[in-house]
Amino acid sequence: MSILMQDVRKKYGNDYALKNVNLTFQKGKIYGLIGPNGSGKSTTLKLITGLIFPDSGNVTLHGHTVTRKTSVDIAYLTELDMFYDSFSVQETINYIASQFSDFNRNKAELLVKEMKLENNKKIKSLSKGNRARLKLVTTLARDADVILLDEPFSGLDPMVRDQIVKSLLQYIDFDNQILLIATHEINEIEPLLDEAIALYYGEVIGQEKVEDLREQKGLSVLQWFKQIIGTIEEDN
Amino acid sequence: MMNPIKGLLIKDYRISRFHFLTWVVAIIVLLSFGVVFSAYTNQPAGTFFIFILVGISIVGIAPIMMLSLLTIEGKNQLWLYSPRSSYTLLLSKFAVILTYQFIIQILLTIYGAISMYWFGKSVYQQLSTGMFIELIAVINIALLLTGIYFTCWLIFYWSIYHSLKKYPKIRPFRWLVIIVLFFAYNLFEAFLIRLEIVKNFVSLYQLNIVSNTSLNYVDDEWNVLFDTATIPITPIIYYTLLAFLLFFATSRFLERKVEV
Repeated sequence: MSILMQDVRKKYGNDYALKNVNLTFQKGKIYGLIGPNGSGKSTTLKLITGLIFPDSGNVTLHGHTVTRKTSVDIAYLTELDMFYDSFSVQETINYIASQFSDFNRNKAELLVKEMKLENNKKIKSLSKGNRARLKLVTTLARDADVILLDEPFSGLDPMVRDQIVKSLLQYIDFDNQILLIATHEINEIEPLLDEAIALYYGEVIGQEKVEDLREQKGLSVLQWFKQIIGTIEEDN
Repeated sequence: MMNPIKGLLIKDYRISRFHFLTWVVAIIVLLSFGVVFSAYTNQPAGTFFIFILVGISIVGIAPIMMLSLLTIEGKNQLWLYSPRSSYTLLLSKFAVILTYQFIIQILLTIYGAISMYWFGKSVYQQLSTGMFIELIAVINIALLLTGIYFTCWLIFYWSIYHSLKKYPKIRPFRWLVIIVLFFAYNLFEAFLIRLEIVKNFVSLYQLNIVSNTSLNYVDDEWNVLFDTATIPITPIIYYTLLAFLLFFATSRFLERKVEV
């Protein structure tokens, strides 16, 4: 089971969001997609989910070209506000459970308790932190083949961030799922990652196994990322 | 586990019920005003005027409700992050909206019956129950079909508008594209209707039903009269096919062109 991106290009007007990107994501691994704002991280995740389409190249999951229907196998946490304001927490969970057959209600209940969310609370009255927690509940409660998290820590305080990392460790099936986290908060996810992929203005500028980085180069992911960005900017 | 279609229907109902209640209150206020005003002016046929006014405004319910639903969804377009097909996503909205419209039409039907057989009995031409059912059925079906037709156009324009979002150069002029499309189609239709062959085809099959109403002023009092009229069938078939075409085109746009 894998995700393949072959020569993928995506343009918005004259600007490249992704330029000839070739990436492979394998089952049982956690990938960190890192890069500054506008580097193409969200675009990559949306392409894998089938929410946007490549201008050229191909994105496949299990050997099939990604379409809108691919969402059946992909649990996607967006950086956007993804809920209906008039719903309660429970109604939101019920709705998502009705749409995705892999939604695991027991897992959702445990997550809701752990995240200290109140089932009858309206979405519009939830704080930003609680909305982020609910996003995580609805994403992690799915037993999907692929989990994509787009900026899961954005604008959240350290307590919530810690909780999110703990939940990831607890609820991800490390042997059977592909987890892809797009973020520029590198320090938070570093302990989780198997591989780090650096994106810079639509191009993949580096891909390393995190263990190799630590053991062979003595670098953290952040140090490695700064190093390659520095080299590129010097060359320019 | 809840059925996915039921889940979609509940979702669409939940995000639109406030708008629906607003419509119901507005319609009830308007209908009540018709009765009060007619009683005040001593012209019971005044309810007929309100009946027509509400009937016309009902045609706008479905497209306006659909626009408000799509505006909610369009904030982030994440409704498209779903294993359901675009057809299903749209049909759920249609089902909810047309149910709303039908409920409002029932209110109007009751109002019509009260006006004809009680409040305005003296000025409304009294139809037999059979004729009244025929008239009400024609009006209700016509209102529903017209609502569906305009809503299909609305979703079609909406999907084009959002498909063009990914082209930054066209993005500021998206409204213009929609306006050009609107006028282009209407010019085409106007041209089509002037062709002799089309004229002949339109009048080929007709249906004779009670559908014509008129007001007659006699002895300081307005009277409501009903008559049979011939309705051409060809345009009904044409607009039904066009509505289907618009619906399927919209679904394709949603599936392949509208991005999140």
